[in-house]
Amino acid sequence: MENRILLVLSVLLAIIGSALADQVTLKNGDRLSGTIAKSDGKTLVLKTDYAGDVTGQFDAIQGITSTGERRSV
Amino acid sequence: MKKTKMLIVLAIGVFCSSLFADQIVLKNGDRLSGAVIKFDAKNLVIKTDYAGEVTVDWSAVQDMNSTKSLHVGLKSGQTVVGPLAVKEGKLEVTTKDFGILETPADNIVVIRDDANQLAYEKSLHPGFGQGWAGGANLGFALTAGNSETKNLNIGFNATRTGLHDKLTLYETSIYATTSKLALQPIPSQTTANSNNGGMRYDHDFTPRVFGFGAADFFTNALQDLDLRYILGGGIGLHAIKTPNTTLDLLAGINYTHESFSDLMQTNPTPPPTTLFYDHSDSSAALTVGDNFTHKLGKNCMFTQSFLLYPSFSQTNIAFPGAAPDNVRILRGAFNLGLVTKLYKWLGWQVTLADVFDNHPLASNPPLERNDITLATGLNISFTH
Repeated sequence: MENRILLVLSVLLAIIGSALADQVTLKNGDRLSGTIAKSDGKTLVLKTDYAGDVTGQFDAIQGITSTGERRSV
Repeated sequence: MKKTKMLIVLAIGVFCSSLFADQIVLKNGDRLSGAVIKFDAKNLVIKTDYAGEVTVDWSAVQDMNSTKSLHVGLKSGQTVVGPLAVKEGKLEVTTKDFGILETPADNIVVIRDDANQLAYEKSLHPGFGQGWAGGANLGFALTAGNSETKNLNIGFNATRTGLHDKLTLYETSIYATTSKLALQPIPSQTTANSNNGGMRYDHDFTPRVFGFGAADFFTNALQDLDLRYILGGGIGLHAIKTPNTTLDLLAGINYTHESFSDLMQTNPTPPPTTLFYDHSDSSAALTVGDNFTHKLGKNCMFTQSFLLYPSFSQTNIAFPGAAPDNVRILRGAFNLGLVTKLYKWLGWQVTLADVFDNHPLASNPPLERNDITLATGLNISFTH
């Protein structure tokens, strides 16, 4: 439960600081980079350079980190 | 302890699912796992457990490997089947019968999984009921009160496009009546009642040259035209054939037959003041023309066609008993259309059509040379 709260908080922070690029690590080891566009607690929309908007299941996410890189506009 | 066991089982499950999944590694270090579905020289589609189908720009892909067999089409025209790996610009396909095939990754034209390959093979040899696309349009106007009028126009077109041929069916009907006009003492009457339908079959001989056969049928109750049919064929040229624009030029010959009944003429020796007569004639003519289509943006399609039928021989179109009036008939049909998509299957359509005849049949009052129709209404499209 705590983990989930932390995850939701990190999503919220990522959306607020959306000038930063985000990395989403999934439970199966996959990694996607982009900018988190929105999340409703069930799904998360990541705007990527290579595949446009990718809508993923929130449950599949292991963690989210911001790289600190400036998002290209 | 129980919790630890469960975590181990879960971890093994996740590990195994990754092991048996296809993987894409991108140039930025990202990784996607799932099932590669297809690649079309520009985009790669992978079906993931967590985000469904993800379409990835091929230029962003660094490496790729599949655990299941894929059908890989190469620039040479060859198709190889097997699990594949793309690494450092090289493609390796582990084929069942010929071992490992290596080639530069630039040679890949297409990749399909079994389901997409099956669908592609089916599309090469579609059944008669497959590959159809078209639409039906409907326009209706009604007035009541001081004026009572009804106006109905319906249309239908369907095109079945194969790999080397195309069959087109089309039909248009217009019907209008007036039962009362404000302050005008006129009886109830039909003001339009015409039908125009036909079909055309094109078959490509080469990528640019095709042959065609066509049959067109017309009726017009107000012109006493029971039936006019034009049977023809010839050759055509795909002058422009791009995803957004096509232009076909046509040339051929046709046979035209028409029959009228109850045509009216003034009796030179009344009574009665008017006489009625029937007429039919046949002629051979040239067919020349074009078909043009152009996509205007994502949701709008403009179409234009022009067909001219200059007759080879002369036809007598005089009243019975009058001096023969042998003339060389020139007929034509000109169509403009614009369909704007409002929804997936619903559109708005505007069409302008002109049927031209340089020598309409003798009649009193005389028939006009042009029949012009402007129609608009809803268009319901379909694909099968």
